[in-house]
Amino acid sequence: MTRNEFFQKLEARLNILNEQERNDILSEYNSHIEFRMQDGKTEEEAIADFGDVDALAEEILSAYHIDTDTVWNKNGEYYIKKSVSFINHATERLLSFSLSDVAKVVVEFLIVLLIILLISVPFNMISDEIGYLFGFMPHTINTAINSIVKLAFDLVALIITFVILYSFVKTRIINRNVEIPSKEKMQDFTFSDGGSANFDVNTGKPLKKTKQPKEKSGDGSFGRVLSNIFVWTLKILVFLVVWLPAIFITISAIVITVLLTIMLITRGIGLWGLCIIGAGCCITGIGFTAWTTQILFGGKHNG
Amino acid sequence: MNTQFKKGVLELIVLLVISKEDKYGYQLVSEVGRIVDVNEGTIYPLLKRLTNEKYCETYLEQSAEGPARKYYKITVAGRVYLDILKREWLEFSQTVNNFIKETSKDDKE
Repeated sequence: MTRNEFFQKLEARLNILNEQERNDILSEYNSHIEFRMQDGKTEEEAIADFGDVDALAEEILSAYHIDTDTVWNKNGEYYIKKSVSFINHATERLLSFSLSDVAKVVVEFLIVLLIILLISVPFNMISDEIGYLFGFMPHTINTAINSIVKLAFDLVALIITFVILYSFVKTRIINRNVEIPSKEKMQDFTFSDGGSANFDVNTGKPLKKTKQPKEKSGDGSFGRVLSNIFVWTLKILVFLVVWLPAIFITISAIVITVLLTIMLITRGIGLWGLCIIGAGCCITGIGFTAWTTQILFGGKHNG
Repeated sequence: MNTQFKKGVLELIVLLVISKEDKYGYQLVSEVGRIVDVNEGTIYPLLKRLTNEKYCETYLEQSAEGPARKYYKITVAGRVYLDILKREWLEFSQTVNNFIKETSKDDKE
């Protein structure tokens, strides 16, 4: 990371502070880098010593008693950052598993998929049933209610799916107890009289880590590339499937609502119900579009 | 060393360093770095907090080589706070040390 990049990132994270405080902090880091370079380090090395920019910014803000979670939650980029590190972590863990462990994870994943499928069945049935309940209503209202109910149920099902998948990755991949070779397992449990379980009884030396991530050095970056690809496909997918339709629907909702309102005013037709629904659609559409826009392009506003 | 250990004791060490003599940022950071191996970036926020809480204050001084340097100077409140921290640390480490001795004696019996 170059100095410009580092300061751009740090400044964006600290934008909640007033300008003077922010410049104060940034100038301290700047002079630190200068001194380090005088001592013979390169700019890159000096910056690398600071570690992760996010962690650093968190540390700085906590000095002002600012809770970064509430601040950054407003920033869509933060969610992406969080999910990137989550996926990174998961892929790196997965790469450190042995073949049999990977096979187990795959089987478990299939079971989870089956569970999700089973859960979605009653959801579909209920939303269909509700559709029939409003059969006595005029056709237009019935269709509107039906589509709203269906959307709501789909949304709930989607959230449940997401939560299940997230907890699956968290418990079965990241926090998984990988099977350890039986010999080392023995040493872990054979002694009961004092001493820590992490030390070998005979030599007093710390036990070897039970499972070294074998391909770690080579494939740590591979995991990162993989998750980067994942994030970019996700971004493109969100752009195509969510953002474009959202914009289209919002614009058409606005147009329809305006037309309906004009009709309501000029001809006095009893369309006020649809007008209200239309207005609601407009507001949620605009809100949703703004939110996804921020997630997709949020990074640019900071720079 | 355990990062939680370091975090707890960092404040004490920083105050101890500037209690002897006013230091500018980089000087202070390298001195603290000699005692505890800590990410250098994290000392500046700590200094900021100590300054905000009035345990130390800063002033600028020109230097022959390069731009003006920002010095950190301990305040009276800072000295009082340092005394409290020192006492707490000594008491705490004493208790823990004693406990370690006690338990290792049990082991031998």
